[in-house]
Amino acid sequence: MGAFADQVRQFTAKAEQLSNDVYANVVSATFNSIVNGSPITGSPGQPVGQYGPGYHPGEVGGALKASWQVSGIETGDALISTYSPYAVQNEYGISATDGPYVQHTTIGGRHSVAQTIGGFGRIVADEVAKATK
Amino acid sequence: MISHLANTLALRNRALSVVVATTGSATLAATATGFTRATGSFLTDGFSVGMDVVTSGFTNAANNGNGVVVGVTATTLTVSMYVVTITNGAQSVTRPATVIEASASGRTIAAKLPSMRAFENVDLIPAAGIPYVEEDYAPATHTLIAGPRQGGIAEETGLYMLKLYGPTNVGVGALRKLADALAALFAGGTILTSGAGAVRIRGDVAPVPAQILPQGNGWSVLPLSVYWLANSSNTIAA
Repeated sequence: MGAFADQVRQFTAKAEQLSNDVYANVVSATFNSIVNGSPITGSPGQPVGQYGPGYHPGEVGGALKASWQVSGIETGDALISTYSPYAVQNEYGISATDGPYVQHTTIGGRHSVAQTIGGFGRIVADEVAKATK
Repeated sequence: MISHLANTLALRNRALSVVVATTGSATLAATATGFTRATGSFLTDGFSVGMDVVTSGFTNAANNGNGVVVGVTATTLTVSMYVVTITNGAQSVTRPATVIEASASGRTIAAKLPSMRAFENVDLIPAAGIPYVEEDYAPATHTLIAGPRQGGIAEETGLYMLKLYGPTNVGVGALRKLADALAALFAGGTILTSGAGAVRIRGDVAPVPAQILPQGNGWSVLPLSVYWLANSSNTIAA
């Protein structure tokens, strides 16, 4: 019985560690899907300024992309958020003026959050598969 | 691989079938500012300020067509009619008043998908105070989920988004009722014919109407996200 109890304890500890690892990796993959895009979800990621006055030729980055952050992961209740006022307009493709929304960059696109939500199950399945390989 | 054209049209036609509010065939009169009735209720029928409506069955042509609801009581529907004309690529909007017409049966007023529509790759010039809708079709993933490679099952997923624009500062009724009616048409598990195949509305991520977002330019927008998936036979070209 002692050996069996030990095995159960070991299994529980391993399962708990696996669960924690999967959780952390899922949060990371979800954040990455929204910000950089992901083939798992089909999210294009945030658009990055490339051209025109005010942009920085040759630089990869941008205020919108940098505005995304993740917090609370240590509490088991992670929150992915942005402080950019342009995030909602870009997410839904809503123009600031009358007329169609126009994206001035070839990097990233719209609906990154929505596509990540739609593909969240795939993210979880992918991370579980990696952890249990 | 599925036909994304057929998919787009299947989802669009579903949206086009929405009826948000209707009098049905009713006994209605026309006034200089809209329409009235002696029996039944415009409120009970579901009309709200800011709704885009279509009127029909009136004798005078000026009383048939498109309008925007600007006032609602049980027996009076105040409507601002409009006519959008595009000549040589230039859009003009006229707002003719309704014409007094005595009560008669066989007339209908219905709120459906706004008549001003910016479907995929179609530009639209919004007209002040007239609701409109934008459509986004965004494929997401394409996965071979069951073998063999040739002839196996490929699953594609994506997002169909309708952005519902209405005049700002008229309350939530018009946009929320339109979004709710559309969400009901795209309930999880709904299967639509798409070309030679079918597209299914996902049940694990059901349609999600977002928050109403005032834009500060006279418009408020309510995005509605519809998640779909479709299967096809995987074909590897020679």
